Amino acid sequence: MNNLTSRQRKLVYAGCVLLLLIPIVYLGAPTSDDVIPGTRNAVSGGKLAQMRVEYDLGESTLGEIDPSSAAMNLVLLGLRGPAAGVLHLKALDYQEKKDWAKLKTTVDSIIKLQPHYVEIWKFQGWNLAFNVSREWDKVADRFYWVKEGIKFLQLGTNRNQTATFLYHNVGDFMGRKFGNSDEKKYFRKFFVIDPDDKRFNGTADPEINPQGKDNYLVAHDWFVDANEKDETYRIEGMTHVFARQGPSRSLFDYATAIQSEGQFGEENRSAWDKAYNEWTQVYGYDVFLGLDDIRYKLNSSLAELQSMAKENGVTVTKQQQVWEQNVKMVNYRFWQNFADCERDPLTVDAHKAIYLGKQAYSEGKISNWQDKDGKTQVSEAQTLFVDGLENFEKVFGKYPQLTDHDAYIEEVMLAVYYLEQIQRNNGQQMPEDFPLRDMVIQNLGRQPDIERQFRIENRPDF
Amino acid sequence: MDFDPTPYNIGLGLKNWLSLVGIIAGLGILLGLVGSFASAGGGGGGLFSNGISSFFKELASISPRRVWALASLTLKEAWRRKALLVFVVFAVLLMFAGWFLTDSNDRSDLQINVHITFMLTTISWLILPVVMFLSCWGIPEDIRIRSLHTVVTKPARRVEVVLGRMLGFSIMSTVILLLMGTVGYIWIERQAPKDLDQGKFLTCRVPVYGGLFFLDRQGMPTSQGLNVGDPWLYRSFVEGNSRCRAVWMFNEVTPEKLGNELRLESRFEAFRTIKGSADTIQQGLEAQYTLVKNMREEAFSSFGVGAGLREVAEALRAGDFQSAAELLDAAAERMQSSPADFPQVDCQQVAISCAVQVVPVLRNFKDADLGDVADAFLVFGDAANSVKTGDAASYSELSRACASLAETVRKRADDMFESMPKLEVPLEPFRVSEYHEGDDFITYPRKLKYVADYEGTARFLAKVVSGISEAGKLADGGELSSGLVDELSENHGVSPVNAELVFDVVKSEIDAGTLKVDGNKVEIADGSSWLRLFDRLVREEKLISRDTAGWEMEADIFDDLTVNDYLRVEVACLNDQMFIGMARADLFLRLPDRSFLAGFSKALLNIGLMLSLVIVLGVTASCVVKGPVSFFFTLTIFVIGQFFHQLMLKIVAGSQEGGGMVESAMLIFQHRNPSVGIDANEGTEAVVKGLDWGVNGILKIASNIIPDFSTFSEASAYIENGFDVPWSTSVLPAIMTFVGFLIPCVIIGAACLKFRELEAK
Repeated sequence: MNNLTSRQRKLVYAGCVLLLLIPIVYLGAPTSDDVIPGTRNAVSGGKLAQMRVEYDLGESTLGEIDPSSAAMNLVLLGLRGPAAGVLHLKALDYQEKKDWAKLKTTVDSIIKLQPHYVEIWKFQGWNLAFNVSREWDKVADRFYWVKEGIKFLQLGTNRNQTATFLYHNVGDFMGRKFGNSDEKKYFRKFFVIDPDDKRFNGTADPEINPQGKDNYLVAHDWFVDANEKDETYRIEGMTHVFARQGPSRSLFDYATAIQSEGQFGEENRSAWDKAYNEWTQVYGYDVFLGLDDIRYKLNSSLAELQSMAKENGVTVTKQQQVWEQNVKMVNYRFWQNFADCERDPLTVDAHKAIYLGKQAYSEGKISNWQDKDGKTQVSEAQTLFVDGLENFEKVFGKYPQLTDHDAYIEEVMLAVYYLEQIQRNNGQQMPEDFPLRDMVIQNLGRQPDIERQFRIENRPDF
Repeated sequence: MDFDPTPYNIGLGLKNWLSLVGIIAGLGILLGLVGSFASAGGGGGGLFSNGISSFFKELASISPRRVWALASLTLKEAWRRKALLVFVVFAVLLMFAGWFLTDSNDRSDLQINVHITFMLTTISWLILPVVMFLSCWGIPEDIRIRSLHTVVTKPARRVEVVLGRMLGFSIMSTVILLLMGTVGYIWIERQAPKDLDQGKFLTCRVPVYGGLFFLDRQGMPTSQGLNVGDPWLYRSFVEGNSRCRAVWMFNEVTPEKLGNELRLESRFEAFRTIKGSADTIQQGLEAQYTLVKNMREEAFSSFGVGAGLREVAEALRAGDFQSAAELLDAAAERMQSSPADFPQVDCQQVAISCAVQVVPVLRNFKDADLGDVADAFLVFGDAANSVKTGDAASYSELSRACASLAETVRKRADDMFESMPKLEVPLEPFRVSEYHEGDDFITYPRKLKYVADYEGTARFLAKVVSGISEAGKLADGGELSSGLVDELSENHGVSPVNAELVFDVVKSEIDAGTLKVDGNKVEIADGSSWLRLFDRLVREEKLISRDTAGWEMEADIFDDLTVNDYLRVEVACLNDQMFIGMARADLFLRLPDRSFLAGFSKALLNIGLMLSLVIVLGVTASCVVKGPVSFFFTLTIFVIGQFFHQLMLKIVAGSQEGGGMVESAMLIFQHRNPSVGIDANEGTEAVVKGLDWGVNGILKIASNIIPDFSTFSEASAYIENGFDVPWSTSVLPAIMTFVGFLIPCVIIGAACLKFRELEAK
């Protein structure tokens, strides 16, 4: 019992309420700033709000919030797990029965239920882009489903801005699926001019390619984003030194692709130049953790190795050993030399001559002819192939470390095979001293593959 | 969509229903008798007969007025319980549905499919719990608050109480359904994307399905096509650039039904073994329809299974009846000398083929009397049926029948060839658009132009030239008339260069003495037929078209290509190393479309019937047990009927992998794959099979008693995919299922309410 009056008791209660408010406000006050998802930027507000941001525990810190997703989860109370399970089973059934509209809708429902379950984004993104697309027959339909898979992953990055792997996946799909699959010839074209004329009026689908760029350049941008995210949210599930290669490798792929499509001008040379710089100046200067957590940079001089050894508190020999091991693992020097060689106008000329030689061959310009003076003129195709081989001979003289590069050997051997066919057409034998003869003799084991490639290239619809 | 619409067999359904209801009634009577004797001892018989007779009197004196009065009361009660509040939930869902649905598919045709699915699912799943609750709680609540006591004191029978409840709740659910359906229809129309060609997608296609079989790589009929390794076995595949065909037989192909055109729609699946040419990569694989009237195929397609008679069968199908006769003679000799070439199983197949196909077709021939040939095949079939391995006498009999058949065929070879034509009209090839519903829709005019093959050319020229000869226009002054060229080109659609060719060939035949001029007519010198003459000329390649377009002719789909109103459509894949997959429902004749509203209304009717059946079950259960028990009982019946009925049927039929309950449990316990089976000795396996037999027996009973609710929901699948809901395969089975359960449920419910103690709450 106490002697306080009713009013006094109420005042005491009010005082207690005020007292309790202090820790509540300290701990639980909501943030007054806009949370930028996936940044861990410090925010004002209570301790709990700050910790939510710091440890990425709040919905808004993980990614943008979808109101329909939040509504669905609220309506289902605690049953979203079983609901998602049932939907997964239905999705499998729809896929088996090729009910694509329902498959896509079901997948969308699953991610509304579990928007932060990154594995679902990864799996279904892959499923739509790779598995579902191949179920369709026409190339335009396949392209549509690859886009669906990529758009799905893009949405995943939006909802999960801390999931660096998803960013990497988008870049990977943009580059690899569009640029490397059987249908690459069409996919790369469709990426810039969408086949759905009615909707896109001869332009790219803005959802995946707003600026109408090459697929490898868009992939490059996504890899750059992935590397930026990687600074805060380290990528998981990939060896770090490989994961960070994305931007430079997509530039290599871009340069190779435009070259194979017959672009040999300044654009091609500059593409190789950019790839070289990205590889050596950006990727080469990234700091990675090697064996025993020893930090290293791939592009390091001896002085830099010594300086890093000091920073790491290890001997220079140990530092060099770790560095050397990783340089070999990513084949760093090869790609450096390769890009350096490819940006050389001499190499560009060599590729160009062989490319034009193949074109002349397919146009039938393979027969020798007599000029008005009665002199025999060699065919255009033969001249180009010989030029190409001679240029390659010079390239190998300048870059001897690339003489065993498979792509170069195959290009040379294929050019020689073309040359042989042209000679045969003109009733002649290959001369004993044709350029790069030694290289061809050393690699005779590859001849069946070369002949197969020749047949493929000379199919009517190639 | 994976449906295989098969028309509902009312006769069989009624037979099954009567036998099932009979068994249940018998069991009910038996239980009633046992109960009566148990409760009243010796007087049980009287008690039972009094009860039964009064019950049937009640049934006979049902008053619609009283039933309606009780139904009105039920409606008022539902209104008081705010049943229509479900409409608010519906409205909320519709307001926000766009959030969940619009961005799912960029393609308009896929979007519309999702919108219709959403609407029909929402309507049925929102009303379902409401009607389940109301129907299951109605009567128990009346008993609890004793309002039923006041009703039963009025001149209202128990059966009328049950019927009134069922009718009242059904009217209520129908009103809600109609409201939701109307709003839903408007919503779908509004949600349809603006760029959508609504006439193409928001419509109800009316398909006429045919029967499907395949021709294998050798051109022999088979029930299945090739398997390309797709785990979903819905479609069978035909190989490109081979003799593989998918063959559809459509019935009732008449101008009265189809109008003056043939509208074919397909939705095939493509499968590649190689990347293919740039053309096919961009445009898709090529398929081709061929309309075929082949009387030889009609008669002999299944004849000649096994190596022994295969050559005979091929000669018969090719129309080379003289060779067929010689081959039959050779076969007759081998039946004596080498009976092993004709195994008993092959002979059985031949016997079946003769009895089921060859003889009926030959007997029903309209163009010629081939009764004697049919008789010879009948005798041969009977002899084949009697063949037994190692029984030399039976083979001697078969040999005699075979020789006799050979003689008959030889004698009637010309007549058979004349009256058994083969006409093939290949249509323009088309690209398979695959999964683009409605894209592969082609309309063909009634009169089709086509380039005739050898046989077509011979038959055409034989008919035309003999006609001209009969009319006395073929010869003039003892010589071939020079007007033949004009006659052919002006009156018979033959190009002038080909008309000249015919003139030259006929003239050379006259010069050679094969033809003789008799006044104004020309006759065959040896007395054989014009068809035989032109067949020889065509085969000797004397009539190779001088016109680059070939022997272009015209065929009437209904007059020239159907046999007894049946149309045979063969589908081929034209690309080498590619395959096209087909199921029965993948090719259909498309009748004029119906409005979307018509199909949508039928889908709603099926949903209404499903809801009414749930009400019937709920009210019946509530006559026996209290509200919660009744609710869970009805819910269980619904869940099993909706989701597991097909599974039950598969388990009962033994087609479900993993066997019965005990076997499956053992497989799980042993961590073994169903395809491997359980790891057990013969004794244990026998015990497991025995136990499963018992469990399957219970399942069989359950599968007959529990309604298959998927019958009702299948209607939605049609409309979702742009088809009209067919009466015979969807609406009729739904009505029959509803009525089939309504009658016994009313009787059981009324009986239970009559014989129960109302005070026992």
